[in-house]
Amino acid sequence: MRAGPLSSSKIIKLLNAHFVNTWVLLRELPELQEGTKGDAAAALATKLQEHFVYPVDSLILTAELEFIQNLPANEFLTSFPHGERKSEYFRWLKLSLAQVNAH
Amino acid sequence: MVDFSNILRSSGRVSVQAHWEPIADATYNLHQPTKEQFNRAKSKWPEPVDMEWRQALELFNPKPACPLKDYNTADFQVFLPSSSANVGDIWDLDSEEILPFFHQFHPGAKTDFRVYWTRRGTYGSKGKKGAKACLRALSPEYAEIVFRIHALFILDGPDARYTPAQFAGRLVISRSKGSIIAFALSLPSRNSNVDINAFGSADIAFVPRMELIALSDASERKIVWETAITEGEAYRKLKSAFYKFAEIEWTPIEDTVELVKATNRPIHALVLFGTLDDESC
Repeated sequence: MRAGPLSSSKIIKLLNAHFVNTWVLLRELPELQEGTKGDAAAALATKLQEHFVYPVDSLILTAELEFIQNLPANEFLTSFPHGERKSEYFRWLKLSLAQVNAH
Repeated sequence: MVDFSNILRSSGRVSVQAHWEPIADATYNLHQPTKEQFNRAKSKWPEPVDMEWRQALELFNPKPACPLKDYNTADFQVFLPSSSANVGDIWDLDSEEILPFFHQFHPGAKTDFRVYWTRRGTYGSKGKKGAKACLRALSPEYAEIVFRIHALFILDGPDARYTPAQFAGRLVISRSKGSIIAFALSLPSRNSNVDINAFGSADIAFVPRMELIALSDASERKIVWETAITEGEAYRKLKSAFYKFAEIEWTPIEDTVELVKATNRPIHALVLFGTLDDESC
């Protein structure tokens, strides 16, 4: 993912303009849920844990922490050949924005 | 702009100590298989395996090949730019020329990430190779260089590889004496900082200390820098030079909800088995 879609200038521009981007280690979710980094991080970690698909997943949530959709990496990488991944990830982000706006 | 070519002209020797602690924690305990797990993996491996279970338990806990090694001062020239540089400049290090430092840990050190995958029967890349340095600070007397190096270690086992997240380093030199004031190169001590592979399986481990550090005679008193960027800024510049995705504005998870409320933007979150911005996954 990091050498593919996340290194696309077009995707980076979209992410920086329209999303708040964060990443977290799966193994840190339990302690975050216990509130080690505050209540807000605990609420977000709980939402991520509920919808996460192992081992790597991209998830979109609204500003109210409502889950919109996810894109499990293993499924994504096997579904699309290397040459199509950047355009597919971009399409998925645009679709996510449309869903958030319609929410 | 300062010319660094052949600046390390002192004839002095520099003793460098190597520290390499055992794995303290791992997600799947690949480094400590049960006898049954080991025998199963061995029986399924497509090639004969000349290894017993007790050897497998030691595979991922190697000791430094040379706990203490003397270098010539000029050996450290490989970390400096080949010509002139300004504070904040970044340059590529010669991956082959820095290898002797990593051989102090283990003779199987590689900076070329091309490896053979026995099960697939093909060669492939193990990750993002590279070695880059940044001139962090300058004074009329001293210069400080920080660097980031990706290296891996081929161990003596079936597709056995030990890939540290990265090595972060720092070199302080005396410009007038052409000597080494301080040198250290270490694996950041952070949870999940080494990727290990054997028998076609992978795990992420935590190694508390893996470090080369110079036992310098020169005392590193408080240096007043004339021009400098912070260490944090220098390492961020190095990370951006390695990874294009570092251009994404990443927000720590503890600050995410507050920023979302302020901007009313949705969250794009990655949840990962291994760290995003290094080679531990």
